[in-house]
Amino acid sequence: MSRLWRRPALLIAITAVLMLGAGIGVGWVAGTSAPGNDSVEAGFARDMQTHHQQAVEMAMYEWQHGSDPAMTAIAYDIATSQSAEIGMYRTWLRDWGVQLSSGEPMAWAGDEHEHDSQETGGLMPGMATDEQMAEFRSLTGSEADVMFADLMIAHHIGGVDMAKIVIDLSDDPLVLDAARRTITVQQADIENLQNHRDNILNAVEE
Amino acid sequence: MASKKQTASKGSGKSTGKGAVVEKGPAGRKDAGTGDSKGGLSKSSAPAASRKGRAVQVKQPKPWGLILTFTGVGVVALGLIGAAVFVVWDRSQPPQGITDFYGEYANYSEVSRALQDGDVTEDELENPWVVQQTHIDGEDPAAVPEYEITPPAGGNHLSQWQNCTGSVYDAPIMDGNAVHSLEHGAVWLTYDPALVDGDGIKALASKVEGRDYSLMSPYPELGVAVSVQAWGVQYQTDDIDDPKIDEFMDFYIQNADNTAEAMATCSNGLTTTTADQQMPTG
Repeated sequence: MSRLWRRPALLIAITAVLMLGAGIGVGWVAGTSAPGNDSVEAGFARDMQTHHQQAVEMAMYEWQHGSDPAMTAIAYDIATSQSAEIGMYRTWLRDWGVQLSSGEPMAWAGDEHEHDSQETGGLMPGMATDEQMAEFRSLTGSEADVMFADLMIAHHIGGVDMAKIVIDLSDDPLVLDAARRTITVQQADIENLQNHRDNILNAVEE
Repeated sequence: MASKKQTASKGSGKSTGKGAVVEKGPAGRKDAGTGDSKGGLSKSSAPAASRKGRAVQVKQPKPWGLILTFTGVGVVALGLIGAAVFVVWDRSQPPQGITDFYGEYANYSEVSRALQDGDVTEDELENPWVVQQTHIDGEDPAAVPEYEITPPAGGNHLSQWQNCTGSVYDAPIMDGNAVHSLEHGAVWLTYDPALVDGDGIKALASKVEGRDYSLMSPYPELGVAVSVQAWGVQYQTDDIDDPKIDEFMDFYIQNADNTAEAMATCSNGLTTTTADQQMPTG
């Protein structure tokens, strides 16, 4: 050591090399820790954008044309919070430097799920068909309330399934945290949608 | 052992040029660390002599200036890293003296994760209401939720949330609507109108006005001047200037780990009070 101290140039050179090494190390770890274009995480984020988009569309229609105050409040809640989540998914995808869409729904979730999606014409779990959306758009008042509840319950069950798949496949803390929140919130929503729907149906019968 | 020998012979075969350098003497020192058997040999011969020769020069005084400079830089660097770690950690810590109802869990995120993983059931929780989020008026539109603590800080609620866009109400609001606002990440400031005068109310209102995800309302019979609550947490004080009120708001408004329904809004909620004689519909 004593010899080293007498060679400041050497000491500085060693320090510089070590710091450069550390910098490259940190950069490498940070660079590779971001999910890649074909990753489960990127696939999930892309598909959840699309999935949420339809929920926002349904909820905006219900908000405008439904009549039950509890149901339209849930619709407002879903439209605003899922729009915010779409923004979150987009921010992830941009931060990771990956594609924002892929045209291959559920490919990230494994062959079995991708196959299910292809059979339904590229729809993700729980999504309404074009026919269902067209029918829903022809309804108003309590009829719209009830169909909104039915469509959204199915939609949420599909969303919860997607979140459960990503929890099985991923270990990214950011994605896992969001998936867990999705499960908690949508399960609470499902129960409330069912209760409010049954309540409306009872009132219509009376 | 056999493989070691092989590599040794391979090495010497490859680097005959190197070997020549070693034999030249002091210049070969650079190769002493390459680890092959030749390096070991050269250590005990020529470089040993050079070390002896250099040892005479060590008598020179140590370069204290350099040593101090590098030590100083090291200490400052460690200090900066330590400070950064502390600041990040400190920001994630809730203010002291807050009552939280999560029992052994730190916050809503932790308890809901434990439930999902099956580590605990709702009934086993110290306060099961911290994870209960049902609209109580779903099955029976006239139903009104009852709460274990006053004012409530979470639990089942009504289907409409109370507007909480920095909303100051001059009359009491329904517990069940306010709890729905807490679910969306709002902080609800309540005061006892018998214990806080007009100037005090103005001072408290200034904390809420213009601040999204907060709301304030009088709470008769509260028994303490001020009570602030977010989902699963509460702080009560008789001092309306208590800095903890601001700390509570700063920490818990839209807190990622204590918002039972993240990303939900405070707008478009109920804006009426019980004084409007208008029961919430739904």
